[in-house]
Amino acid sequence: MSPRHLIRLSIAAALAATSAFAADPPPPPDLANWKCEMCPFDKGYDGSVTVGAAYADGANASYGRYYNGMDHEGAYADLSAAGDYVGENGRHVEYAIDDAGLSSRRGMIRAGTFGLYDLTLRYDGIPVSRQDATVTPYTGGMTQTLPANWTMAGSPAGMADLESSLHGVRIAAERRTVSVDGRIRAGLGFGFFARFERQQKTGNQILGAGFLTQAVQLAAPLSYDTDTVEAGVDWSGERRSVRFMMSDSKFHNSDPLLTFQDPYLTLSGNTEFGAVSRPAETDARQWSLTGTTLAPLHSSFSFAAAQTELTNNSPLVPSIAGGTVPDTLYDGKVVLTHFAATFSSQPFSHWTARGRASYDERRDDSNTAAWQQYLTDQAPSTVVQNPHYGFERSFVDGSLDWRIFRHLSIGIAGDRRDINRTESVVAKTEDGRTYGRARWTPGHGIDVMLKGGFAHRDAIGVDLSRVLVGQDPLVSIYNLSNRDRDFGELSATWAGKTFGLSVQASAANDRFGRSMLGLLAGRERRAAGTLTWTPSETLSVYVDGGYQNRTSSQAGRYDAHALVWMADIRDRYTHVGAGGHWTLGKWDYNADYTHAKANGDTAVGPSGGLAAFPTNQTAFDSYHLTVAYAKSDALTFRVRYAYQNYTAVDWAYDGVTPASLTNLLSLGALVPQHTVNVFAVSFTYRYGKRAGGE
Amino acid sequence: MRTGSPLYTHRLLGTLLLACGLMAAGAAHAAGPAAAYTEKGADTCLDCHEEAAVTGIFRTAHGRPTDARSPFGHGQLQCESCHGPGDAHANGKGKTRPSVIRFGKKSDTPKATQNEQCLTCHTKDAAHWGANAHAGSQVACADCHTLHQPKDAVRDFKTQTMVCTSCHQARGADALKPSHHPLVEGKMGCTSCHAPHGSNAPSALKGSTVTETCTTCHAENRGPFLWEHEPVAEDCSNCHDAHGATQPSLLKTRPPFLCQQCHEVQGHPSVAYGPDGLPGGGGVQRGVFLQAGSCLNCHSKVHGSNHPSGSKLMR
Repeated sequence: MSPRHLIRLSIAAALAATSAFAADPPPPPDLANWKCEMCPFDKGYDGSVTVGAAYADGANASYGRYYNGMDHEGAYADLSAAGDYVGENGRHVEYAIDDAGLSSRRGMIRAGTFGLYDLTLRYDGIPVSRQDATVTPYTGGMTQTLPANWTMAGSPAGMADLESSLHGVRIAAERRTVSVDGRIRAGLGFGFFARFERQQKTGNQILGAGFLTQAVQLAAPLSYDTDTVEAGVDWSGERRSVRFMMSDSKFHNSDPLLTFQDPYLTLSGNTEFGAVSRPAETDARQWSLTGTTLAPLHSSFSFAAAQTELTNNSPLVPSIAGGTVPDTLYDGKVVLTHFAATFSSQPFSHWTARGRASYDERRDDSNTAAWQQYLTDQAPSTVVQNPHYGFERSFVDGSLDWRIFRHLSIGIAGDRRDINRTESVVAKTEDGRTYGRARWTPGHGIDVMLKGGFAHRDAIGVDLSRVLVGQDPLVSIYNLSNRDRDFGELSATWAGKTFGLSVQASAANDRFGRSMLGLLAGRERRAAGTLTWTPSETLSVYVDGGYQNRTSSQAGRYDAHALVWMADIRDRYTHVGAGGHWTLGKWDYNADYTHAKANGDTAVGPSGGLAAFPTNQTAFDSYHLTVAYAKSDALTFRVRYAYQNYTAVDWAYDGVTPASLTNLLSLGALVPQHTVNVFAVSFTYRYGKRAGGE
Repeated sequence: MRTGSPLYTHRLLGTLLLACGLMAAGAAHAAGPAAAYTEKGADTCLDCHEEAAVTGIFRTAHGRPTDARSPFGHGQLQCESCHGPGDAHANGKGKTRPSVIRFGKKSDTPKATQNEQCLTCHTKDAAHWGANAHAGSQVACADCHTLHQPKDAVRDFKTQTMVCTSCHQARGADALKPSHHPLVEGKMGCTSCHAPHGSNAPSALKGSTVTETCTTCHAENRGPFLWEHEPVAEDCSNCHDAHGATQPSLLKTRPPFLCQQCHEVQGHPSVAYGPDGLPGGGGVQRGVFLQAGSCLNCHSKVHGSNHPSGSKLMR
């Protein structure tokens, strides 16, 4: 047989084999017989209403920090509803209202035709209460004043009118989001979508404001709106998809300046005001294009490109209280550019390669000028030019995994991140990371993954002209310094017929070795695990727990002649939980317990003689018990009891009163503490097709 | 040398191709006859599988007959769109009954095969999925999604965190820390920030960058500001741990020590703010630097200032 014949024969054999593979898909069925007569397609209406009441015993602002809308002791309505209607031709309406009796309420209504279009309206309230025992002598909103004939003093302890002027002020805020979004599927794989969202944030916050070396804390009102409009088109075919979107987000804040009376002795002896700016009105416009495609050899490729223009054209505020607005314009403009691409490929069944590359640029095109600074309104300071921080960030990563045996695969991966910065002390950092991983899946539900590697960051090009006088130019700034890191992870799961065990552990060590100042080292150890037992469809039980230990050390000194001081910081966090769910006939029981505890230790002092702060502690205990009785398909009664206890010890807050600190007139904020019992009873009534009706 | 001759090259190539061809043909033969679809489609399946755990599919997007893209849409293969041809399964008997493609954690179908079924239709996710960390960890779609339940737990913020943290246990622990986003409270979900099916951004973020993702909600901090704080402009995660923290405001470390990781000297001496500086500590009282807001008692505009005199982020 000549070589040519051999090749022809071989090609023919290969083609025959390939076509044999291609012929594997089964012959298409005769769909004329596929009537789906037994299919219980969804049709008609259906709904449920839950009505009840809850009493929160001991609730306060600390409890309200948990976004639950229960920030004071008392009774709350428990109101929820949900339902849907599905008509002929796929027309449908769906709605859900949760926690209507609380400020954490949310609601949604969606209508449309399946597969053609839908329109959704949403509302969501997120209340966050912070403090309900804070006090202040100030009154007013964006102009905060002290009582008439206020006696100024060098420190709060000497302010004769302070004690008698204090009145309570709650610190709380609420975020309310309303959105409407719609989508139309236009055929041929095209779809159009649009969305409008308004986020409102109202309430107040604690805001510090300084007079050179003295400061006050204010209950600063906040009233922000963010309106976002998005619209775009996408197309998806069998192997490719493309999406183009434009968005515009406008942030509104009608109060750009908060002024406040100085309670301290002033140089002139007269009443003076200070000022602190509030967030400026800004606009963010973005276009983005993303695409994906599947390629031969079990490969895929995707890309993204986006450009965002952030602008700040809001008028500036006066440099000093009652003064004039500077003639110079800021005209803030920052352009963010983003390109990224990813790929994956599995050319052979045992090999998988993945990779990603991205480029991000932040270019600050704002106006640069020299601005007269005032440390107090009566004390002009230096003239400073506003900086233009920008960067170019490139990133590339890749991994290769090889299944060497049926139950064992190994892989190697690495990434590299370079950041070139403008107007920064460190012009460039180069980060590289390499790691390996192994995965063992011997069957019987066992899956073990081990991963470990190291990383190195180089800080290149320290700009000495930007180093502050007295500061070591090589100080280990957190994100701008040389760093060596090694890390490892272990995760293991064992899924049996009735039980599951999952364990994860990780360790990481950081060393910032170039300088004896700044951040010197960091270390983290973590472990977590969960054990579940589900002996039947009506009973499931779980136990979980975790531990984290994070330490860091840092150093500093005033100048080259000063002694070095050290700080060792250690944060430990543990949690355990247990719970279960049991259905017994018409009864349904749910129980959960969680305990979480955090300890924070800080020791500071001259090298070799560290003194320890009191240990900061938080302890969280929570029990939930719910018992439900289904009287019928349509009616369920439910009783719920929840207990939550939170205690904290924190040297940053404990003992701080408006008059206790030499240079700070504070609001006397307390660390969160609460012991709350919530009792709730409710019933749920179901109606429509799934309640036994039609 | 003979090895360099065209004749030798042709023979070598031909032998290799022949070997490949014969192996492929053998494999094709070993694959056996093509499976067949059932005679009556879903009616065949529902004859046995009439339980609610199965018929729940008709209350999901997969069970809509009016949606042409749905497995039950016009001309689609109903149950067998996902579970594969089921004739042998329907007509088999006893222990020899062959299984169809099954989904979920107790399935004996390889996860790659399960996912291929899903990605056949969900093509927009398909290309992102391959490069995704979930794919790398051999996660099956049905490990997170429950397809026959009217409510898919992972698509509802109230239950999503529980699903995600069943694997991401450390993140579940973080969500219980004293300072946390409202994840366990169900006011937001992991998917508020992450795209679990994959994205072109780091850590499968929805935004192009960390900062873009954060400022979707925290727009007041996005700037541009006349006076910017460099690490804020670069990456929020320089100071904040978004998954939860034992320090207030999701901070990685307590001020002033967090600030002093970069600011060794910044307008005033870099002194050791030790416990003797607390009231009653026996040293020079430095409460304004340590307590209440610490550095933020004065430098409250730490995210940026729009005040002409705000270069120190105090105004």
